[in-house]
Amino acid sequence: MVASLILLLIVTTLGTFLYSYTLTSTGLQQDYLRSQVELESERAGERFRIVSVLWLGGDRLNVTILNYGLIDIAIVDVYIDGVRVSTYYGGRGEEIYTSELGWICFDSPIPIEADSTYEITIVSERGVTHVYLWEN
Amino acid sequence: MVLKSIIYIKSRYTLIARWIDMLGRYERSGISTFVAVLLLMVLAVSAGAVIYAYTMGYLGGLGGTRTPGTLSLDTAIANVTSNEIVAYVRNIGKGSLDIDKIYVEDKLVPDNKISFSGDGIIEEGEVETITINCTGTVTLTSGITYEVKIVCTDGTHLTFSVKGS
Repeated sequence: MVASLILLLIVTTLGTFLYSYTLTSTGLQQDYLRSQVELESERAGERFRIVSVLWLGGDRLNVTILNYGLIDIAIVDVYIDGVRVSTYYGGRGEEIYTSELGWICFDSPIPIEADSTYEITIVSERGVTHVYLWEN
Repeated sequence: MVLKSIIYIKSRYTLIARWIDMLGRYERSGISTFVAVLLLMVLAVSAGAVIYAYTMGYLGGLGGTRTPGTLSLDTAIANVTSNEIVAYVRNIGKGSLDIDKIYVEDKLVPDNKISFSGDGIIEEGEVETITINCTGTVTLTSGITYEVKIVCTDGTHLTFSVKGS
């Protein structure tokens, strides 16, 4: 009888362990999938583009962005010809509501010259990018 | 019929049982085997729960319970002059990500050829600049597209293409 009880103890312990482990594991997977679907649907709802680029002299630029998507956005980073902008004067991380215009002002990390073409990449907080070829 | 059955069950499963010695005297009183088994089962299950709770502290976090994060590419450039690829990678998922290995055209880039703007760990919402020196792995040529794969320690990976310029 003691042997049976020991076996019962082992089986119960292992069973509980296995049950809890699989429950935790599948729960985490479900949470991950749910968050991924949510993130991807939000990313898919983002639509924005640069409508104008204003050269303020020197290396300073002011970019106007139109949010024509289904969700509010915030521009968190700008790249000029693949180089990340490090100095911002305003507009970074600020919410741009749907069907509205927003702006972001910064210093270009590469010198801005007249009659030149630059590739401006703007990135939203959800990682959606928009590339614009700007002819100065 | 019903009354007889109840009486039988009551006498068989009574809580108190007596041990009788060889002379037919009551030696000492105890509990019935049914109750004893029941008690032992409760003890076994309780002990199992205690052992489980104890071991889960050590084993609970082992393997399979961590989900990967999400990486996103902001932009990347492949400089043929310096033979380097510079990629700006953003962590848009939950939790921090630790970059482990990088492949260019399915070839593993040695760790000493990779440099980060930080420590290679990307926190939530942060961007890491990764500079990959391709010398010894591939020779970058202008106009050719290269496939880069970044793999993190938790299995998160990001694959992107970048054109040499």
